[in-house]
Amino acid sequence: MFNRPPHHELLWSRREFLRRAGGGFGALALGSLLHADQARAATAPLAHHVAQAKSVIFLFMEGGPSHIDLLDPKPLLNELAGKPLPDSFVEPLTAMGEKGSPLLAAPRTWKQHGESGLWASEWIPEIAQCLDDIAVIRSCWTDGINHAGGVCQMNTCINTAGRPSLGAWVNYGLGSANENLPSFVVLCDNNGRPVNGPRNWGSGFIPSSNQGVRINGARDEPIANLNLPKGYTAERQREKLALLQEFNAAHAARTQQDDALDARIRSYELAFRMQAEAPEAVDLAREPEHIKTLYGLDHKDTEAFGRNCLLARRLVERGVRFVQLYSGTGSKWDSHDNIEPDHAKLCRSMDKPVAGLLRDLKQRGLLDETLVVWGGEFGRTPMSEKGDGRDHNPTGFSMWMAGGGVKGGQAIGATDELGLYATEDRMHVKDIHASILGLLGLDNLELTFDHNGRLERPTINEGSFNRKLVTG
Amino acid sequence: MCRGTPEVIKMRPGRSRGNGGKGIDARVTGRGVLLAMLPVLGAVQALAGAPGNPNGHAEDWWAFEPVTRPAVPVSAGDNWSRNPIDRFVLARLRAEGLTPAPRAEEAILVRRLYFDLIGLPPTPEELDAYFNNASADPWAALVDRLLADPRYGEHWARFWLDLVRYAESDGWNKDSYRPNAWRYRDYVVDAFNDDKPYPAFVREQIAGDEMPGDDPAQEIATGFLRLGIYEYNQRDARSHWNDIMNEITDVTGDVFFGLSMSCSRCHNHKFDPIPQTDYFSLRAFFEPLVWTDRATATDADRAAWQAQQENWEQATAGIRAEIDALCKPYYEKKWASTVDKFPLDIQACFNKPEAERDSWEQQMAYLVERQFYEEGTPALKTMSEEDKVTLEALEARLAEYDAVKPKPLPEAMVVRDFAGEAAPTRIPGRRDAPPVPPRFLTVFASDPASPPEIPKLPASTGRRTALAKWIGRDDNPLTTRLIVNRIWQQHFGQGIVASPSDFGHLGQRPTHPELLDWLTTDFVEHGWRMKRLHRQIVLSATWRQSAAHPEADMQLAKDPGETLLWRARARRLRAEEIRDAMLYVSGELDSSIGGPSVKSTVPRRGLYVISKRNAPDPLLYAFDGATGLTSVAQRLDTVTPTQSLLMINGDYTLLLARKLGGRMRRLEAQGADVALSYGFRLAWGRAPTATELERALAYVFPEDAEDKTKMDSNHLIDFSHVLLNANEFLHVQ
Repeated sequence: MFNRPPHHELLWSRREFLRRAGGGFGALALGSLLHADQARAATAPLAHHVAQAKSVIFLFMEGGPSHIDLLDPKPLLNELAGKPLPDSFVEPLTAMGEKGSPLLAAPRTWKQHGESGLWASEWIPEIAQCLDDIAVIRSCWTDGINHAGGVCQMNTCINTAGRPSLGAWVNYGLGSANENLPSFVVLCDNNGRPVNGPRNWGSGFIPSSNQGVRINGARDEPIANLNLPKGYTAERQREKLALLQEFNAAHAARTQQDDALDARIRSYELAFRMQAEAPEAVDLAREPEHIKTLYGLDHKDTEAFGRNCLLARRLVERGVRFVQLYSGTGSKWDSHDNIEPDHAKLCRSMDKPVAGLLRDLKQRGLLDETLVVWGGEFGRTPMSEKGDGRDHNPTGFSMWMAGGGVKGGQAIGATDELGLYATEDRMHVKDIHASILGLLGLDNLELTFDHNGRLERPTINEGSFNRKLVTG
Repeated sequence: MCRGTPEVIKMRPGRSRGNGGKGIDARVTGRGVLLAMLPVLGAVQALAGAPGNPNGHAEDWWAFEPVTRPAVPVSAGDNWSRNPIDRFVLARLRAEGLTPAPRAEEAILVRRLYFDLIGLPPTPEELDAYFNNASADPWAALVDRLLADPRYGEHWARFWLDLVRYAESDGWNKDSYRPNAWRYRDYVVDAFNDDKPYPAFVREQIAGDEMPGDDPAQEIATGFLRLGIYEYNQRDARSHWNDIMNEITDVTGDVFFGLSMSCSRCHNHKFDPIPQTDYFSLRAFFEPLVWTDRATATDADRAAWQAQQENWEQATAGIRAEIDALCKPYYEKKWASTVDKFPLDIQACFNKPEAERDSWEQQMAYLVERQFYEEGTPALKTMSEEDKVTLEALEARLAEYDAVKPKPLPEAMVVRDFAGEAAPTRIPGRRDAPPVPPRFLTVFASDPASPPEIPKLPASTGRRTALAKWIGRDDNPLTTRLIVNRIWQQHFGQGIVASPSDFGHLGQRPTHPELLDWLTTDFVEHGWRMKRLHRQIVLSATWRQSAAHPEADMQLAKDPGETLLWRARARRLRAEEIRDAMLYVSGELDSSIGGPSVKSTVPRRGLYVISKRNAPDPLLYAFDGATGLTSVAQRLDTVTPTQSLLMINGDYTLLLARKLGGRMRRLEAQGADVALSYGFRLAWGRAPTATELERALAYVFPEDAEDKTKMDSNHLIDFSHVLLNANEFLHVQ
């Protein structure tokens, strides 16, 4: 334990830098210096402590799901519905700026489930069946009141742009387990674009080999530029690559500083291998029917997100470290009005696929090493907006985690009696990130990157691992 | 290892593992480590003196010491050196038992020089001209020609734009395009081409609006203070403006001070003598800042416009009054609903007459007002059908006067100081403490207790002018060295100080402190001209070394970090250079200079491709182009399969390969060998070897081709594609 390598990226030479720069896809630049296996052994970053989770599936409900309608029942809310927020509550600053709006009832049927007796509403009947595997965190909070800041923060720990995404940190910290696939994958449930676009999965100031790659499993070309150019045969491409590698080899032989050059030679080989492996990884044709049904691929409401959940399982099986799934891509969970029909529909699209994923991971023995995280950038207010909707609530909302060493069947923390402010065992986004890293064996203060003279850390020197997630 | 910290980090075996991850203890531990590192870093005085009086420690850190003019060393039997740079470098090499690499091959040097100065490769014709130049010093002549080439400014602007986080959109959710942002970009291009002295360059960007004179470029330059992000639909105006001001302060610290000021936003800097008050003292210079989008023109142009505008206004007064009356109720309703969404204290700022506001209240009112305009014209959406018909008729009548309406003056995103009272600057959480005055870094202050006298200017507090003048002082030890080092870094891939935006204790020490001081002194004495510095560098023997050294292994053993300049560093082309060079060698590049940005499908240089923060261009992004989110002093140089997929399968490279093939095809009448050689020379800047040419010929005349009299089309395209994907194209030796 005491001899583990310091987790510091010190760019003490260009040579070393280049060696590390390819690290996300597995020590690209080392080819000329070491055999492939040695290369992996030499650069495979080690976790700071022993942990169960090896990969993360982050189910991101973009737009902000209503915690008080799903996982955090508030009987008082229905009692006071139609009345203003009681004076004992500080009225928060809201995104849409409605002031003094009456409380909006959450007309849900709540039940307790499983041995643990955790609560869930009728909007998530399938996830409800899995609650004994789930730790619900009811005391999350974040800083900004708007989507761009909230989504940015849930991805990068702060609400202003420019820092590496959590998936990039994990990739950087743990390295790839399959260099033929990107190690950080993003899947969206429609062809739209999440708020902020690709910077949500960007690598900020750490090398771009760590950034997320968006995969679209429903397309002929799941990764951008993966397919051969139109009209090209594999033979023609091979012939071309052979000439390229020949010129490159001759060039390298004349050159002394070959690390970078060799890395690029290998990157073409990797690209070629990715062309072979990625389509197989995203090909659901060979999945048996009962598995497809488990994820809801047989129904139009659940097909899109179900496909991504099934893809996520296939990707983590193949060693992908971090898979982020957007549900309601393009802020669809943002129910400022019409929350009843809108949320009901989104819950339906997500509930069965998510439960299917948990069950499938469990039956394959993968749940122990796969951390599943569920949540949005914030929750929603108990106060109404436009009469039948809810505004953003960054001051108290729910997320949940399952697998990867998390003790299920527990609720951590609490919000006040109306679900407006987190009150007990509050977990800021920084604590949530520190906990995700912790479950992966990474210490949020020891995982560092030297940038502009600062040792940057994923949670900006703050945040702590909430051990209750493991110990209960 | 050049970094000061690794030993320290190794010295903390299992640092407080017992505590690791246990709630708040973990945080305390984290800070504890930072503190534990201090003595080793020699910065303990910095911390001890920080809160009260960090002054007096200036002499303890090299970057705060006055710049000296060291004597140029003389090495016995030196027949290598060409100028003082070399004499410093050689003396150091000798001291370490190292020798310089031989001079690089001429063709390699020419290609290196072209990319270094104008960001494009030499054409075969330019190569011929150089090699046939019989003048006494063809190298110096080439250097002077390239420095005078307007493409020099286009290339070097990019490095500055990276630093100042240039992008052309708001960021955040809506990420609105900023149609006038390019005027700042063109200002930077012109500044480099005009070889503007650095103090003027700094002053125009920080306080151009406060400068006397009639040059619109000065005001456009203040676009620097407009480049940060802006969030449409943000009701939390207070935090929003706070973020904007912090961002401006951070970027000013990074770009002009080379100190990570942002560390001091929340606490006294743990390693440098920058107390938290210094952060807010710097921020105070920007306190009265107001953003404005306004016409920028010479006084004469403005007067001419004004005269014509008055004519038009007179002629159309009646119609416009009717339109205003018709729209007024709708706009009023819209105003009310926009304002109503903001918190009550922000509404109060907006409702206050401007004359009674202080600068902070004005900024809050600005954010409210801007929200109204950002929402566009839906105000009129609710208009009754009847009113709509009336409005259309009125607008048609108004349009009849378009012929006498003056063309709008060019509008730019600029700043000014608020005319009223400047709000006090306070440290968050210390509401009762006295406000923080604008003040330079206390480490340099002779009397840190009293802030500098800042002369008021006719229309502003003069604060920003004072700051810019301080940065541009000849005797400023920090800012002078900083810019010299940045230029050096661009030429050598690594600065004399390897952390170009951190000259503090966490940054690296200079590898050649005397050389840095000599260059800095020379730079300042000769009017802070960048072109002179470029010239000194590329004329040196140091810069002209080969990337290969005959005894590299032995040298590496002595200098594993390769910091002592005993051979050139090969480098990958930067993102824009890859795009530009592909377009250029394929004959597609549109070389027009300046103007509004274009879609990436328009064949102009990467500098002109629209840069939206949330939707970066895929090619530029894949090759580590700057996204404008934060200040970038040194781009990363990564190798990813994404890049290779894009280059080998992507449409764009293939399209350009086709064009490059076409250029070769046009020479086929002179022989396929001539045609292919030309392709090699275009892409790689040198003629092929006999083996390479033979291989290429065999490739474009495949055995199974039906027509053996001419190059096979597909194979010619693929050969061109290989030239563009080759390491020799993508790298500079």
